[in-house]
Amino acid sequence: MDVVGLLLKSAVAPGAVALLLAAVSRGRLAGVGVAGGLLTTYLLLLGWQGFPPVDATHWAPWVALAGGVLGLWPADRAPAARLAAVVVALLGSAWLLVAPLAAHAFSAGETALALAATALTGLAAERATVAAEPQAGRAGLLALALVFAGMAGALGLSGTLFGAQLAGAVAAGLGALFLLALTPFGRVPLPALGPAVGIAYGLLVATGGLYAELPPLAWAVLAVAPLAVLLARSLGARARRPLVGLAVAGAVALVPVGAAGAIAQLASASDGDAASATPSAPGPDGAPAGDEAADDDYGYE
Amino acid sequence: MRSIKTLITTALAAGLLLAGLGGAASAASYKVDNAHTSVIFKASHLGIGTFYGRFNKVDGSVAWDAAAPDKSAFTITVDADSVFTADKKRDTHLKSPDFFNTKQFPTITLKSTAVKPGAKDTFEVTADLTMKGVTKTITFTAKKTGEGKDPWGGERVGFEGSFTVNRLDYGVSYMPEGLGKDVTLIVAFEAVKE
Repeated sequence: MDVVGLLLKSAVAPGAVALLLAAVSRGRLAGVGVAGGLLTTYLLLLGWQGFPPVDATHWAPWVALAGGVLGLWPADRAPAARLAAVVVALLGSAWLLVAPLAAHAFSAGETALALAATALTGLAAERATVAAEPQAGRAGLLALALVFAGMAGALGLSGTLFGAQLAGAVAAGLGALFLLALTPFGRVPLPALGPAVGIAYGLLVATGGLYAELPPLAWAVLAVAPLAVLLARSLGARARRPLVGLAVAGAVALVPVGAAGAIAQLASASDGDAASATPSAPGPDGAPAGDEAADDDYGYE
Repeated sequence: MRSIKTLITTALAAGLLLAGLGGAASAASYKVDNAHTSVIFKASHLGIGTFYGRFNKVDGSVAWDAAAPDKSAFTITVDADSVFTADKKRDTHLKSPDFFNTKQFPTITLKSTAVKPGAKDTFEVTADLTMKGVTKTITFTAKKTGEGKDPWGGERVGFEGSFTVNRLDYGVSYMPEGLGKDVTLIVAFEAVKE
Protein backbone atom coordinates (compact mmCIF):
# COMPACT_ATOMS: atom_id res chain seq x y z
CA MET A 1 0.00 0.00 0.00
CA ASP A 2 1.37 3.39 -1.00
CA VAL A 3 0.92 5.31 2.28
CA VAL A 4 2.71 8.40 0.97
CA GLY A 5 0.41 8.48 -2.05
CA LEU A 6 -2.65 8.19 0.19
CA LEU A 7 -1.42 11.05 2.39
CA LEU A 8 -0.77 13.19 -0.65
CA LYS A 9 -4.26 12.58 -1.98
CA SER A 10 -6.26 12.92 1.22
CA ALA A 11 -4.22 15.38 3.30
CA VAL A 12 -1.56 17.32 1.40
CA ALA A 13 -3.58 18.08 -1.74
CA PRO A 14 -6.77 19.31 0.01
CA GLY A 15 -4.69 21.30 2.48
CA ALA A 16 -2.76 22.96 -0.34
CA VAL A 17 -5.94 23.85 -2.26
CA ALA A 18 -7.59 25.35 0.83
CA LEU A 19 -4.45 27.25 1.79
CA LEU A 20 -3.90 28.64 -1.69
CA LEU A 21 -7.44 29.87 -2.25
CA ALA A 22 -7.74 31.35 1.24
CA ALA A 23 -4.35 33.05 0.99
CA VAL A 24 -4.93 34.70 -2.38
CA SER A 25 -8.42 35.91 -1.38
CA ARG A 26 -7.53 37.12 2.13
CA GLY A 27 -9.80 34.43 3.53
CA ARG A 28 -12.82 35.30 1.44
CA LEU A 29 -12.60 32.06 -0.54
CA ALA A 30 -11.88 29.94 2.53
CA GLY A 31 -15.09 27.94 2.12
CA VAL A 32 -14.49 27.42 -1.60
CA GLY A 33 -10.96 26.38 -0.76
CA VAL A 34 -11.97 23.74 1.79
CA ALA A 35 -14.68 22.39 -0.53
CA GLY A 36 -12.26 22.55 -3.46
CA GLY A 37 -9.80 20.52 -1.42
CA LEU A 38 -12.52 17.97 -0.70
CA LEU A 39 -13.36 17.75 -4.40
CA THR A 40 -9.67 17.38 -5.25
CA THR A 41 -9.34 14.42 -2.89
CA TYR A 42 -12.52 12.86 -4.28
CA LEU A 43 -11.19 13.12 -7.84
CA LEU A 44 -7.73 11.89 -6.90
CA LEU A 45 -9.16 8.86 -5.12
CA LEU A 46 -11.76 7.81 -7.66
CA GLY A 47 -10.97 9.63 -10.89
CA TRP A 48 -13.66 11.35 -12.91
CA GLN A 49 -16.98 9.65 -12.15
CA GLY A 50 -19.20 11.79 -14.34
CA PHE A 51 -21.68 14.46 -13.35
CA PRO A 52 -24.24 14.31 -11.90
CA PRO A 53 -23.02 11.46 -9.71
CA VAL A 54 -24.82 8.13 -10.06
CA ASP A 55 -23.80 7.13 -6.56
CA ALA A 56 -25.64 9.32 -4.04
CA THR A 57 -22.71 9.21 -1.63
CA HIS A 58 -20.60 11.06 -4.21
CA TRP A 59 -22.64 14.27 -3.95
CA ALA A 60 -20.85 15.65 -0.87
CA PRO A 61 -17.84 17.27 -2.64
CA TRP A 62 -20.04 18.93 -5.27
CA VAL A 63 -22.66 20.36 -2.94
CA ALA A 64 -19.96 21.43 -0.48
CA LEU A 65 -18.48 23.47 -3.33
CA ALA A 66 -21.88 25.12 -3.81
CA GLY A 67 -21.80 25.76 -0.06
CA GLY A 68 -18.41 27.40 -0.49
CA VAL A 69 -19.94 29.82 -2.98
CA LEU A 70 -22.81 30.47 -0.56
CA GLY A 71 -20.16 31.31 2.02
CA LEU A 72 -19.27 34.40 -0.01
CA TRP A 73 -22.50 35.91 1.34
CA PRO A 74 -21.31 37.98 4.33
CA ALA A 75 -22.81 36.72 7.57
CA ASP A 76 -23.78 40.23 8.69
CA ARG A 77 -25.68 41.09 5.51
CA ALA A 78 -29.34 40.04 5.78
CA PRO A 79 -28.49 37.25 8.26
CA ALA A 80 -32.02 35.83 8.35
CA ALA A 81 -32.10 35.47 4.56
CA ARG A 82 -28.61 33.97 4.63
CA LEU A 83 -29.69 31.43 7.23
CA ALA A 84 -32.77 30.58 5.16
CA ALA A 85 -30.54 30.02 2.12
CA VAL A 86 -28.25 27.78 4.17
CA VAL A 87 -31.22 25.72 5.41
CA VAL A 88 -32.51 25.32 1.84
CA ALA A 89 -29.04 24.26 0.70
CA LEU A 90 -28.78 21.76 3.56
CA LEU A 91 -32.20 20.27 2.83
CA GLY A 92 -31.46 20.10 -0.89
CA SER A 93 -28.14 18.38 -0.22
CA ALA A 94 -29.80 15.98 2.20
CA TRP A 95 -32.38 15.10 -0.44
CA LEU A 96 -29.66 14.23 -2.97
CA LEU A 97 -28.27 11.74 -0.46
CA VAL A 98 -31.57 10.32 0.78
CA ALA A 99 -33.54 10.21 -2.51
CA PRO A 100 -32.36 6.74 -3.68
CA LEU A 101 -33.32 5.23 -0.32
CA ALA A 102 -36.66 7.03 -0.40
CA ALA A 103 -37.28 5.45 -3.81
CA HIS A 104 -36.93 1.81 -2.78
CA ALA A 105 -36.11 1.33 0.87
CA PHE A 106 -37.61 3.99 3.13
CA SER A 107 -41.17 4.80 4.15
CA ALA A 108 -42.30 8.44 4.05
CA GLY A 109 -41.64 8.73 7.79
CA GLU A 110 -38.16 7.26 7.52
CA THR A 111 -37.39 9.56 4.61
CA ALA A 112 -38.50 12.60 6.60
CA LEU A 113 -36.44 11.49 9.59
CA ALA A 114 -33.33 10.90 7.46
CA LEU A 115 -33.73 14.30 5.78
CA ALA A 116 -34.21 16.09 9.09
CA ALA A 117 -31.30 14.29 10.76
CA THR A 118 -28.95 15.03 7.84
CA ALA A 119 -29.94 18.68 7.58
CA LEU A 120 -29.82 19.27 11.34
CA THR A 121 -26.39 17.64 11.61
CA GLY A 122 -25.16 20.01 8.92
CA LEU A 123 -26.92 22.99 10.46
CA ALA A 124 -25.22 22.36 13.82
CA ALA A 125 -21.84 22.46 12.10
CA GLU A 126 -22.73 25.57 10.10
CA ARG A 127 -24.10 27.46 13.12
CA ALA A 128 -21.14 26.50 15.30
CA THR A 129 -18.74 27.70 12.60
CA VAL A 130 -20.49 31.03 12.15
CA ALA A 131 -20.94 31.59 15.89
CA ALA A 132 -17.27 30.88 16.64
CA GLU A 133 -16.39 34.18 14.93
CA PRO A 134 -14.91 36.64 15.68
CA GLN A 135 -13.23 36.09 19.03
CA ALA A 136 -11.38 32.90 18.41
CA GLY A 137 -10.76 32.25 14.74
CA ARG A 138 -7.68 30.15 15.40
CA ALA A 139 -9.19 28.08 18.20
CA GLY A 140 -12.37 27.67 16.16
CA LEU A 141 -10.45 26.44 13.13
CA LEU A 142 -8.42 24.02 15.20
CA ALA A 143 -11.54 22.70 16.94
CA LEU A 144 -13.37 22.30 13.63
CA ALA A 145 -10.43 20.48 12.05
CA LEU A 146 -10.31 18.09 15.00
CA VAL A 147 -14.07 17.50 14.86
CA PHE A 148 -13.71 16.47 11.20
CA ALA A 149 -10.67 14.35 12.00
CA GLY A 150 -12.59 12.58 14.77
CA MET A 151 -15.57 12.11 12.47
CA ALA A 152 -13.20 10.57 9.91
CA GLY A 153 -12.16 8.03 12.52
CA ALA A 154 -15.78 7.17 13.35
CA LEU A 155 -16.57 6.71 9.65
CA GLY A 156 -13.54 4.50 9.15
CA LEU A 157 -14.69 2.30 12.02
CA SER A 158 -18.16 2.15 10.47
CA GLY A 159 -17.01 0.49 7.29
CA THR A 160 -16.40 3.35 4.88
CA LEU A 161 -12.73 4.20 4.49
CA PHE A 162 -13.61 6.37 1.50
CA GLY A 163 -15.95 8.47 3.67
CA ALA A 164 -13.19 8.65 6.27
CA GLN A 165 -10.73 9.92 3.69
CA LEU A 166 -13.17 12.59 2.52
CA ALA A 167 -13.72 13.73 6.12
CA GLY A 168 -9.94 13.68 6.55
CA ALA A 169 -9.61 15.91 3.48
CA VAL A 170 -11.89 18.53 5.08
CA ALA A 171 -9.91 18.23 8.31
CA ALA A 172 -6.70 18.77 6.34
CA GLY A 173 -8.18 21.84 4.62
CA LEU A 174 -9.27 23.30 7.94
CA GLY A 175 -5.89 22.42 9.46
CA ALA A 176 -4.15 24.30 6.66
CA LEU A 177 -6.36 27.31 7.30
CA PHE A 178 -5.49 27.06 11.00
CA LEU A 179 -1.79 27.24 10.09
CA LEU A 180 -2.54 30.21 7.84
CA ALA A 181 -4.39 31.91 10.69
CA LEU A 182 -1.30 31.55 12.88
CA THR A 183 0.59 33.88 10.57
CA PRO A 184 0.20 37.64 11.04
CA PHE A 185 -1.35 38.16 7.59
CA GLY A 186 -3.56 35.12 7.52
CA ARG A 187 -7.05 36.07 8.59
CA VAL A 188 -9.66 33.38 7.98
CA PRO A 189 -13.26 34.50 8.50
CA LEU A 190 -15.14 31.51 9.88
CA PRO A 191 -18.57 32.50 8.49
CA ALA A 192 -17.16 32.10 4.97
CA LEU A 193 -16.55 28.47 5.88
CA GLY A 194 -19.95 27.86 7.45
CA PRO A 195 -22.09 26.59 4.53
CA ALA A 196 -19.35 24.42 2.99
CA VAL A 197 -18.40 22.94 6.36
CA GLY A 198 -22.06 22.40 7.31
CA ILE A 199 -22.99 20.65 4.07
CA ALA A 200 -19.86 18.48 4.08
CA TYR A 201 -20.34 17.56 7.72
CA GLY A 202 -24.03 16.72 7.40
CA LEU A 203 -23.61 14.63 4.27
CA LEU A 204 -20.54 12.73 5.42
CA VAL A 205 -22.04 11.82 8.80
CA ALA A 206 -25.29 10.82 7.10
CA THR A 207 -23.37 8.72 4.56
CA GLY A 208 -21.99 6.74 7.48
CA GLY A 209 -25.41 6.43 9.12
CA LEU A 210 -27.49 5.69 6.04
CA TYR A 211 -25.12 3.82 3.74
CA ALA A 212 -22.50 2.34 6.08
CA GLU A 213 -22.68 0.97 9.62
CA LEU A 214 -22.39 4.13 11.76
CA PRO A 215 -24.60 3.38 14.81
CA PRO A 216 -27.52 5.81 15.41
CA LEU A 217 -26.09 6.76 18.80
CA ALA A 218 -22.76 7.67 17.21
CA TRP A 219 -24.65 9.78 14.63
CA ALA A 220 -26.50 11.54 17.46
CA VAL A 221 -23.23 12.33 19.22
CA LEU A 222 -21.63 13.53 15.97
CA ALA A 223 -24.69 15.72 15.34
CA VAL A 224 -23.99 17.73 18.49
CA ALA A 225 -20.19 17.46 18.30
CA PRO A 226 -19.75 20.74 16.34
CA LEU A 227 -21.32 22.58 19.27
CA ALA A 228 -18.16 21.66 21.17
CA VAL A 229 -16.46 24.22 18.93
CA LEU A 230 -18.36 26.93 20.82
CA LEU A 231 -17.38 25.49 24.17
CA ALA A 232 -13.81 25.09 22.95
CA ARG A 233 -13.79 28.73 21.95
CA SER A 234 -15.05 29.98 25.27
CA LEU A 235 -12.82 27.71 27.40
CA GLY A 236 -9.81 28.35 25.17
CA ALA A 237 -10.34 32.09 25.39
CA ARG A 238 -10.03 31.95 29.20
CA ALA A 239 -6.48 30.60 29.09
CA ARG A 240 -3.76 33.16 29.74
CA ARG A 241 -1.34 31.74 27.19
CA PRO A 242 -2.54 31.41 23.57
CA LEU A 243 -0.89 28.02 23.19
CA VAL A 244 -2.68 26.68 26.27
CA GLY A 245 -5.91 28.14 24.93
CA LEU A 246 -5.47 26.26 21.67
CA ALA A 247 -4.62 23.04 23.49
CA VAL A 248 -7.73 23.37 25.66
CA ALA A 249 -9.89 24.13 22.63
CA GLY A 250 -8.49 21.12 20.78
CA ALA A 251 -8.98 18.80 23.72
CA VAL A 252 -12.57 19.93 24.24
CA ALA A 253 -13.37 19.47 20.56
CA LEU A 254 -12.06 15.93 20.63
CA VAL A 255 -14.32 14.77 23.48
CA PRO A 256 -17.60 14.23 21.59
CA VAL A 257 -16.02 12.89 18.39
CA GLY A 258 -13.87 10.61 20.52
CA ALA A 259 -17.06 9.32 22.15
CA ALA A 260 -18.63 8.77 18.71
CA GLY A 261 -15.54 6.88 17.60
CA ALA A 262 -15.68 4.72 20.72
CA ILE A 263 -19.34 3.89 20.05
CA ALA A 264 -18.52 2.97 16.45
CA GLN A 265 -15.58 0.86 17.63
CA LEU A 266 -17.75 -0.99 20.19
CA ALA A 267 -20.37 -1.71 17.53
CA SER A 268 -17.71 -2.93 15.12
CA ALA A 269 -16.08 -5.10 17.80
CA SER A 270 -19.42 -6.64 18.82
CA ASP A 271 -19.92 -7.65 15.17
CA GLY A 272 -16.54 -9.33 15.29
CA ASP A 273 -17.50 -11.12 18.53
CA ALA A 274 -20.67 -12.41 16.93
CA ALA A 275 -18.64 -13.64 14.00
CA SER A 276 -16.24 -15.54 16.20
CA ALA A 277 -18.82 -16.85 18.68
CA THR A 278 -18.62 -20.32 17.17
CA PRO A 279 -15.38 -21.97 18.27
CA SER A 280 -12.95 -22.54 15.46
CA ALA A 281 -11.13 -25.80 15.02
CA PRO A 282 -7.75 -25.64 16.77
CA GLY A 283 -4.63 -25.21 14.68
CA PRO A 284 -1.74 -27.70 14.61
CA ASP A 285 -0.19 -26.14 17.71
CA GLY A 286 -3.45 -26.25 19.65
CA ALA A 287 -4.15 -22.53 19.21
CA PRO A 288 -7.56 -21.53 17.85
CA ALA A 289 -7.52 -21.29 14.09
CA GLY A 290 -8.78 -18.40 12.02
CA ASP A 291 -8.85 -14.69 12.74
CA GLU A 292 -11.48 -12.68 14.59
CA ALA A 293 -13.25 -11.46 11.47
CA ALA A 294 -13.63 -14.89 9.93
CA ASP A 295 -17.26 -15.75 9.35
CA ASP A 296 -17.82 -19.06 11.11
CA ASP A 297 -21.42 -19.10 9.92
CA TYR A 298 -20.18 -19.33 6.35
CA GLY A 299 -22.51 -16.56 5.28
CA TYR A 300 -25.66 -18.13 6.75
CA GLU A 301 -27.75 -15.86 8.93
CA MET B 1 -58.07 -29.55 -60.27
CA ARG B 2 -54.45 -28.56 -60.59
CA SER B 3 -55.05 -25.23 -58.95
CA ILE B 4 -56.84 -26.87 -56.01
CA LYS B 5 -53.84 -29.22 -55.56
CA THR B 6 -51.47 -26.25 -55.65
CA LEU B 7 -53.61 -24.40 -53.13
CA ILE B 8 -53.64 -27.38 -50.72
CA THR B 9 -49.87 -27.82 -51.07
CA THR B 10 -49.28 -24.13 -50.43
CA ALA B 11 -51.60 -24.15 -47.43
CA LEU B 12 -49.87 -27.21 -45.95
CA ALA B 13 -46.44 -25.67 -46.50
CA ALA B 14 -47.54 -22.43 -44.91
CA GLY B 15 -49.04 -24.32 -42.00
CA LEU B 16 -45.85 -26.27 -41.43
CA LEU B 17 -43.76 -23.12 -41.67
CA LEU B 18 -45.97 -21.32 -39.19
CA ALA B 19 -45.92 -24.31 -36.84
CA GLY B 20 -42.15 -24.37 -37.06
CA LEU B 21 -41.84 -20.67 -36.36
CA GLY B 22 -44.28 -20.97 -33.49
CA GLY B 23 -42.20 -23.75 -31.96
CA ALA B 24 -39.01 -21.70 -32.22
CA ALA B 25 -40.62 -18.64 -30.72
CA SER B 26 -42.11 -20.47 -27.76
CA ALA B 27 -39.02 -21.13 -25.63
CA ALA B 28 -39.81 -22.84 -22.34
CA SER B 29 -39.61 -20.80 -19.13
CA TYR B 30 -37.21 -21.83 -16.41
CA LYS B 31 -36.58 -20.35 -12.98
CA VAL B 32 -33.04 -20.11 -11.64
CA ASP B 33 -32.46 -22.48 -8.70
CA ASN B 34 -30.49 -20.48 -6.12
CA ALA B 35 -29.37 -23.61 -4.26
CA HIS B 36 -27.59 -24.89 -7.34
CA THR B 37 -26.31 -21.61 -8.68
CA SER B 38 -22.93 -20.03 -8.07
CA VAL B 39 -21.82 -16.51 -8.83
CA ILE B 40 -18.16 -16.37 -7.92
CA PHE B 41 -15.69 -13.54 -8.37
CA LYS B 42 -11.96 -13.23 -8.02
CA ALA B 43 -9.75 -10.17 -7.78
CA SER B 44 -6.13 -9.40 -7.14
CA HIS B 45 -5.17 -8.10 -3.68
CA LEU B 46 -2.28 -5.61 -3.57
CA GLY B 47 -1.02 -7.20 -6.78
CA ILE B 48 0.25 -10.04 -4.63
CA GLY B 49 -2.45 -12.63 -4.20
CA THR B 50 -5.87 -13.52 -5.54
CA PHE B 51 -8.92 -13.74 -3.34
CA TYR B 52 -12.29 -15.23 -4.17
CA GLY B 53 -15.78 -14.30 -3.09
CA ARG B 54 -19.31 -15.20 -4.02
CA PHE B 55 -22.86 -13.94 -3.87
CA ASN B 56 -25.10 -16.20 -1.81
CA LYS B 57 -28.48 -15.08 -3.18
CA VAL B 58 -29.16 -15.28 -6.90
CA ASP B 59 -32.47 -15.21 -8.72
CA GLY B 60 -33.40 -15.19 -12.37
CA SER B 61 -35.26 -16.64 -15.29
CA VAL B 62 -34.33 -18.46 -18.45
CA ALA B 63 -36.23 -18.85 -21.69
CA TRP B 64 -34.60 -21.92 -23.20
CA ASP B 65 -35.32 -23.35 -26.61
CA ALA B 66 -33.20 -26.40 -27.33
CA ALA B 67 -34.34 -26.50 -30.95
CA ALA B 68 -33.47 -22.89 -31.59
CA PRO B 69 -30.95 -21.75 -28.96
CA ASP B 70 -30.61 -18.35 -30.59
CA LYS B 71 -34.17 -17.67 -29.46
CA SER B 72 -33.14 -18.29 -25.85
CA ALA B 73 -32.62 -15.60 -23.25
CA PHE B 74 -31.84 -15.26 -19.57
CA THR B 75 -31.83 -12.74 -16.76
CA ILE B 76 -29.75 -13.29 -13.64
CA THR B 77 -30.37 -11.04 -10.62
CA VAL B 78 -27.78 -11.06 -7.87
CA ASP B 79 -28.52 -9.76 -4.37
CA ALA B 80 -25.46 -7.55 -3.89
CA ASP B 81 -25.97 -7.58 -0.12
CA SER B 82 -25.33 -11.34 -0.11
CA VAL B 83 -21.65 -10.89 -0.98
CA PHE B 84 -19.58 -13.36 1.00
CA THR B 85 -15.81 -13.63 1.29
CA ALA B 86 -15.61 -15.54 4.59
CA ASP B 87 -14.58 -12.38 6.46
CA LYS B 88 -17.38 -10.28 7.98
CA LYS B 89 -15.42 -7.05 8.11
CA ARG B 90 -14.40 -7.36 4.48
CA ASP B 91 -17.99 -8.22 3.53
CA THR B 92 -19.22 -5.11 5.37
CA HIS B 93 -16.63 -3.05 3.55
CA LEU B 94 -17.60 -4.51 0.17
CA LYS B 95 -21.26 -3.65 0.88
CA SER B 96 -20.39 -0.07 1.86
CA PRO B 97 -20.31 2.95 -0.48
CA ASP B 98 -16.60 2.24 -0.97
CA PHE B 99 -17.48 -0.64 -3.28
CA PHE B 100 -20.99 -1.97 -4.10
CA ASN B 101 -23.06 0.54 -2.08
CA THR B 102 -25.73 -2.11 -1.62
CA LYS B 103 -28.14 0.26 0.14
CA GLN B 104 -28.53 2.29 -3.05
CA PHE B 105 -27.82 -0.50 -5.54
CA PRO B 106 -29.27 -3.68 -4.00
CA THR B 107 -28.97 -5.82 -7.14
CA ILE B 108 -26.54 -6.65 -9.90
CA THR B 109 -28.16 -7.92 -13.09
CA LEU B 110 -26.94 -9.81 -16.12
CA LYS B 111 -29.47 -9.81 -18.94
CA SER B 112 -28.78 -11.49 -22.26
CA THR B 113 -29.51 -9.59 -25.44
CA ALA B 114 -28.29 -12.21 -27.93
CA VAL B 115 -27.39 -15.89 -27.75
CA LYS B 116 -25.44 -17.25 -30.70
CA PRO B 117 -24.89 -21.01 -30.89
CA GLY B 118 -21.27 -22.11 -31.27
CA ALA B 119 -19.52 -25.46 -31.24
CA LYS B 120 -20.98 -28.31 -29.21
CA ASP B 121 -23.18 -26.86 -26.43
CA THR B 122 -21.35 -23.56 -26.36
CA PHE B 123 -22.86 -20.15 -27.02
CA GLU B 124 -21.55 -16.69 -27.62
CA VAL B 125 -23.64 -14.58 -25.29
CA THR B 126 -24.05 -10.85 -25.52
CA ALA B 127 -25.49 -9.43 -22.31
CA ASP B 128 -26.06 -6.20 -20.42
CA LEU B 129 -24.31 -6.21 -17.07
CA THR B 130 -25.71 -3.61 -14.66
CA MET B 131 -23.77 -2.82 -11.52
CA LYS B 132 -23.99 0.33 -9.36
CA GLY B 133 -26.41 1.87 -11.82
CA VAL B 134 -24.05 1.49 -14.78
CA THR B 135 -25.02 -0.80 -17.66
CA LYS B 136 -22.43 -2.06 -20.12
CA THR B 137 -22.63 -4.66 -22.83
CA ILE B 138 -20.33 -7.64 -22.46
CA THR B 139 -19.73 -10.72 -24.59
CA PHE B 140 -18.64 -14.08 -23.25
CA THR B 141 -18.75 -17.77 -24.00
CA ALA B 142 -21.25 -19.87 -22.08
CA LYS B 143 -21.53 -23.62 -22.05
CA LYS B 144 -24.64 -25.69 -21.52
CA THR B 145 -23.47 -27.97 -18.72
CA GLY B 146 -26.45 -30.30 -18.88
CA GLU B 147 -30.14 -30.76 -19.40
CA GLY B 148 -32.60 -33.38 -18.22
CA LYS B 149 -35.03 -34.55 -15.57
CA ASP B 150 -34.29 -34.42 -11.87
CA PRO B 151 -35.36 -37.21 -9.47
CA TRP B 152 -38.52 -35.27 -8.57
CA GLY B 153 -39.79 -35.07 -12.12
CA GLY B 154 -38.73 -31.50 -12.81
CA GLU B 155 -36.90 -30.52 -15.96
CA ARG B 156 -33.61 -28.72 -15.49
CA VAL B 157 -31.01 -27.05 -17.63
CA GLY B 158 -27.62 -25.76 -16.55
CA PHE B 159 -25.20 -23.22 -17.97
CA GLU B 160 -21.84 -21.81 -17.01
CA GLY B 161 -19.94 -18.81 -18.27
CA SER B 162 -17.01 -16.67 -17.24
CA PHE B 163 -15.98 -13.15 -18.07
CA THR B 164 -13.71 -10.40 -16.82
CA VAL B 165 -14.76 -6.80 -16.29
CA ASN B 166 -12.93 -3.66 -15.28
CA ARG B 167 -14.69 -2.67 -12.04
CA LEU B 168 -13.77 0.98 -12.60
CA ASP B 169 -16.09 0.98 -15.64
CA TYR B 170 -18.96 0.35 -13.23
CA GLY B 171 -18.07 3.01 -10.70
CA VAL B 172 -16.59 0.49 -8.26
CA SER B 173 -13.54 2.68 -8.23
CA TYR B 174 -12.15 2.79 -4.72
CA MET B 175 -8.67 1.49 -3.89
CA PRO B 176 -7.49 0.65 -7.40
CA GLU B 177 -3.99 0.23 -5.99
CA GLY B 178 -5.15 -2.23 -3.34
CA LEU B 179 -7.77 -4.26 -5.13
CA GLY B 180 -7.28 -5.22 -8.78
CA LYS B 181 -9.27 -3.39 -11.43
CA ASP B 182 -9.97 -6.57 -13.38
CA VAL B 183 -12.53 -8.78 -11.71
CA THR B 184 -13.33 -12.20 -13.13
CA LEU B 185 -16.81 -13.56 -12.59
CA ILE B 186 -17.94 -17.14 -12.97
CA VAL B 187 -21.69 -17.56 -13.35
CA ALA B 188 -22.90 -21.14 -13.14
CA PHE B 189 -26.62 -21.65 -12.83
CA GLU B 190 -29.19 -24.37 -12.90
CA ALA B 191 -32.78 -23.55 -13.78
CA VAL B 192 -35.99 -25.53 -13.29
CA LYS B 193 -38.76 -25.60 -15.88
CA GLU B 194 -41.88 -23.79 -14.73
